[in-house]
Amino acid sequence: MSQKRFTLAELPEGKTATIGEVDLQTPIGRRLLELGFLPGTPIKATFRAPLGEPLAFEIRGFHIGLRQCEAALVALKHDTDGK
Amino acid sequence: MANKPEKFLFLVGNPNTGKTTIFNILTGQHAKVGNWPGVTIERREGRFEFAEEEGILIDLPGTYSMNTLGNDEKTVGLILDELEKGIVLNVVDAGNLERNLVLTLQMMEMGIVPIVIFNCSDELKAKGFTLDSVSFEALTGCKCILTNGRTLEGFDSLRALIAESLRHWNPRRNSYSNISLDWVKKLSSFLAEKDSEWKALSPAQKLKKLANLDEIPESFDFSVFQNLVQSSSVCWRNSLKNGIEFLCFGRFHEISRLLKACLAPLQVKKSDENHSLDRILLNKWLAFPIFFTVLGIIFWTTFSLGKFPSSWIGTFLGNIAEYLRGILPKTILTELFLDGVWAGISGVLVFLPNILILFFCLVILEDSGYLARGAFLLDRVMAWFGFQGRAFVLFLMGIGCNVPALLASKMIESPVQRIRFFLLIPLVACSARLPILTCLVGIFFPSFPGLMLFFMFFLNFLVVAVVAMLLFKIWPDSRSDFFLLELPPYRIPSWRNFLPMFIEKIRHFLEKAGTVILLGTIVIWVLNYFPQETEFSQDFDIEISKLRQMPFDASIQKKIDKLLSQKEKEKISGKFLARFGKAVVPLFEPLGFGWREAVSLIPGFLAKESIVSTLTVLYSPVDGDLGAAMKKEGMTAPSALSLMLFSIFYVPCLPTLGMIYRESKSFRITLLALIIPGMLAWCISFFFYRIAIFCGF
Repeated sequence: MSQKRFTLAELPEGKTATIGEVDLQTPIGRRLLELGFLPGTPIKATFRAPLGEPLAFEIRGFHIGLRQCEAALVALKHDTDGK
Repeated sequence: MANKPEKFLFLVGNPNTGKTTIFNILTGQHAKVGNWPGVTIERREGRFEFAEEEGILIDLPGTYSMNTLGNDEKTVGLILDELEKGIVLNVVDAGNLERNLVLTLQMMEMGIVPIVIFNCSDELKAKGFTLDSVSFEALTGCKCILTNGRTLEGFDSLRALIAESLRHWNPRRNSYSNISLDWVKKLSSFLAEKDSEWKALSPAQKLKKLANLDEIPESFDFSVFQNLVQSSSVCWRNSLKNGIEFLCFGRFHEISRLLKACLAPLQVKKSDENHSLDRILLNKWLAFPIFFTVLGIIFWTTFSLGKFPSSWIGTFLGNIAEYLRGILPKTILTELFLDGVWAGISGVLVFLPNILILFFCLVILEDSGYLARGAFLLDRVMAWFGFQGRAFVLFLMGIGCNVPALLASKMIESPVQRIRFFLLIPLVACSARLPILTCLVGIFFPSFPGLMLFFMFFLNFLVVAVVAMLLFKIWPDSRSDFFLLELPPYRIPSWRNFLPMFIEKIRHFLEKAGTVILLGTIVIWVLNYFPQETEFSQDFDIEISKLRQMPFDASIQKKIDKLLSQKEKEKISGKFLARFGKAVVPLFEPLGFGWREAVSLIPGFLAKESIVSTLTVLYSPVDGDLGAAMKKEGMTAPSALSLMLFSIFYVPCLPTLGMIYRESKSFRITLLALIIPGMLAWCISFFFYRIAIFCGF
């Protein structure tokens, strides 16, 4: 598991993954946690804006847009995503 | 009866829950908008009356978490402690219970027991569930009610419920004793054990303690927390690292338990079709064409269609003025009233159609959920300039007219971004700058007018972009200024929100901006009226009457016209306004302006459209050929270029300035919004004037 961190920012459109950890050093990370970005929660990448950013995700039944740098604060678990 | 203390009700909830609609339904249509004492958070209040009970309903800004109720800790604390004095109505989006209930739980942790309003109950049904309010009340100790803002379902019971709690008024009943929710009880008893004062703390103090849980020394044993959250959930694998993780886990754990107990599946299960619209509206290829078409339509209706009612109002008021001029005695008071006050009032009222149409469109855009999509699409671009995606719409509207764009500036949530917006918007060339541009382009650049106009607007865009980036460098967003871009479900906008919003916006505009505009108009009038007696170079009246006695022919008429305009010109140039203009000419000489240009910029401050008309009066061209007259007096292509650039940037018009002052509530920012464009304008004009001369135009 010592591979490079796999984050939400790299999750391809249409794929679902499980949240591993949220960087709590930033206020953004803490806010995401409050919204339910908890370790173990499934999250789906739904859209990428035509200009490459932001990215839209579906989590716990709601849809949210995050900028690349914000999405990178959320680490994903490796084993999920089907492959 | 009259001196009973006021009873306060607070509407709290996530954004996009239909909170505003509920506020409008409960209060009728009379909202008073002000600020929380001492801070710049908007506070909308209205009167609630039902069954002989009354209270004051206060709508709080939509928030996902109590921690972000205001823009800093002090503000949050201030609002929270206020909450304790009244009863909280917590609006919950029934279509999205899990995330919405976080706020509910957060309040309960602080000892606030809200009345829970499950709004958009139809969306819960669409998802295939019903909510058992009896078990919800039993588990949480909160009264709850299901409503639907569109069909008004549930509102009678809601009114009765509120009236009931007003009758048995006891905000202090808010205590843990009502709550049977495991999580809250255990948490509070746990914290009370650690901290003997816990129960006596105010909600704000409690919030602070909870938020700082992870600042507890390392010796603190978090394993106690772990026992609290039963590790039954599958996702619960990591050991808890700190307090905030613990809190969030605990809340979601408890919410899922709560929902399991309260939600019953319906027989008919429908799939959630709502977000499939995004497949088209956020499609890689279609998204931008659709979005710009929508914006184009809004822009066109606001400014092209809005032009008609605006000019009707202008003509109507003008006709009344002419009528009054005919019947009133010719005194200085009459002139003050007609040319100062009345002109000022018309100057204010002509903005109303634009404002109304724009806000009508914005409400549809916002309530339907499409604005969030637009913000999503353009976020990348706006981020370069330090703005949220939705600010794009405001800048675009600014091209039409700065005033309504400013009136809508609440759309930008971040206070720092708002300040940058206030300083930038005067630089955005609004359509009122067009007359002077087209006029000068036609006269001095007849071979390539279109190209020249394009160059002007392109340069304008560049300047706005560069200044935006500079301001972003100087005033960056603070780290906590982070705004979640929720993509809410698509909904049909509620017509109930239009009338109250119209009334609110109109009142705002008239009260604050209107008074500034009116005052400014009167001041300019006074400066342009006095001194009364002018020393003419010749006695025009005698000359004219001499000419009139001669046998009439075309050349005589021409001579009379020339004398008349000559007289008008001398009259104007004797006034304080023109004297002032002449006094500041040295300042403009490096830019290639004569005194007429300098003077014409002053009425341009009232409304940029009037630069051309003032120039026409000051030059009083023979045959109405302004171009020939200007060229004769020494205006050249470079100085025309310089004048165009200067008039694009120089100062925000008075209405814009009034709006900036009203929205920022800061004298300093208003002053900056006046000075920055002025200095920029001078530098840009000077630069291009010199370049144009150098290139030998």
